[in-house]
Amino acid sequence: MTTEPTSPRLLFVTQVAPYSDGPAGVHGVLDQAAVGVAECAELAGLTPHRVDDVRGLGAAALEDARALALFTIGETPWSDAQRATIARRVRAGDLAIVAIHSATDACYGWDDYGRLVGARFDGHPWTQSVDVAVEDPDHPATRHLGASWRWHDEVYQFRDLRPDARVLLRVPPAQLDLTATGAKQPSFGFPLSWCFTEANGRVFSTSLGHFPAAWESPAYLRHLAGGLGWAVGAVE
Amino acid sequence: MFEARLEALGVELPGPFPPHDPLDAVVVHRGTARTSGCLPRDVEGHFPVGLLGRDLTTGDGAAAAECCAWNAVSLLRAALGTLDGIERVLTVSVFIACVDGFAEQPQVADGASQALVRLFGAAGRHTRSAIGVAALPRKAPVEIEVTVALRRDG
Repeated sequence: MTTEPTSPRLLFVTQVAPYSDGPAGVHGVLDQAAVGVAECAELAGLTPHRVDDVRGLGAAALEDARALALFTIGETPWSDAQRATIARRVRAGDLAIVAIHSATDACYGWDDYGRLVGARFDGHPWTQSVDVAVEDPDHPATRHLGASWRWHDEVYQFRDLRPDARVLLRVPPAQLDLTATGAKQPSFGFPLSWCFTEANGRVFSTSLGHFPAAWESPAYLRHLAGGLGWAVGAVE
Repeated sequence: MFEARLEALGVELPGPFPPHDPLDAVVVHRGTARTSGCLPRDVEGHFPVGLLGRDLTTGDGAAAAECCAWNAVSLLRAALGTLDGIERVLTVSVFIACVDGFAEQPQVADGASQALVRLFGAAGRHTRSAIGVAALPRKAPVEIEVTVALRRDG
């Protein structure tokens, strides 16, 4: 399937400095992720465009994009002007954000960023299989999953989850070793995926997608496609 | 003997990464064993994506084909319990995702063939087809199938 070149763009940012050659291991999966994200974009009527370094992203490209998918980690070098454009266009409802896996573990020097992706990463004490509770099955990102979804991934922990976040997936705490190093017990538990509106804009976030198997999983790709479709208003 | 050779080569086999239902990783039938298509997954399951002649060089493709071969060996080992149950390699099909006009499929496929000969020696020689295609699963650059003959006493 091809998308008309005039269709709106989805920018897929895969800048993982300083970890691209480092110990985080996030990020051998990015090429495979780009294949999956491109499929999701085309399903939503968008033309995917990968961005490995935001310093080369022109103002016009950011101004014209319909969606910004982030699979980032570390201090993504967004300029002040780019940050302002993103925040303005999200709030105007012109730019949707999809935060994938480690995107919540990025941009600590950008105060507003946590609000734009919904929470801040606070460690991943666990890598394991879990029976994920589908908290909100009435969403395009979760409708296909049933009440519970068996999944293997890094299980992220968060801080500063937006109070208005609509949590879609959450891990029941009984499935986690809460004595593990770095484990905490946040009041909002252990959400894995959420969405929310920021003024007139929409944001979808999923912390899943670390392992290559995710990017070959129809269930995961439907989760992501549903989240993106919702964020751009293509599906409800 | 092939198990010992594998150890001597110092190859860490990836996987095994079996396919999804209702496919079998390996079918053993009447003295032969045949794998499903194997992508060039590393030990963590990652693989490169893209087309030969555009995104990957012929050398990249040969390395991917070698990785495919180790995945096929891994599937066979898991299915048979030991590589020593194999008498010889019979045939290998190598599919190469490439741009129109790319003609170095044999050099790409040699990455797989040479790996199998390193492991199995003379018993690793095989017939082969190296086939250029428009696309492979998940945009992998190379996929191979391997058929082996099994030892009668295996």
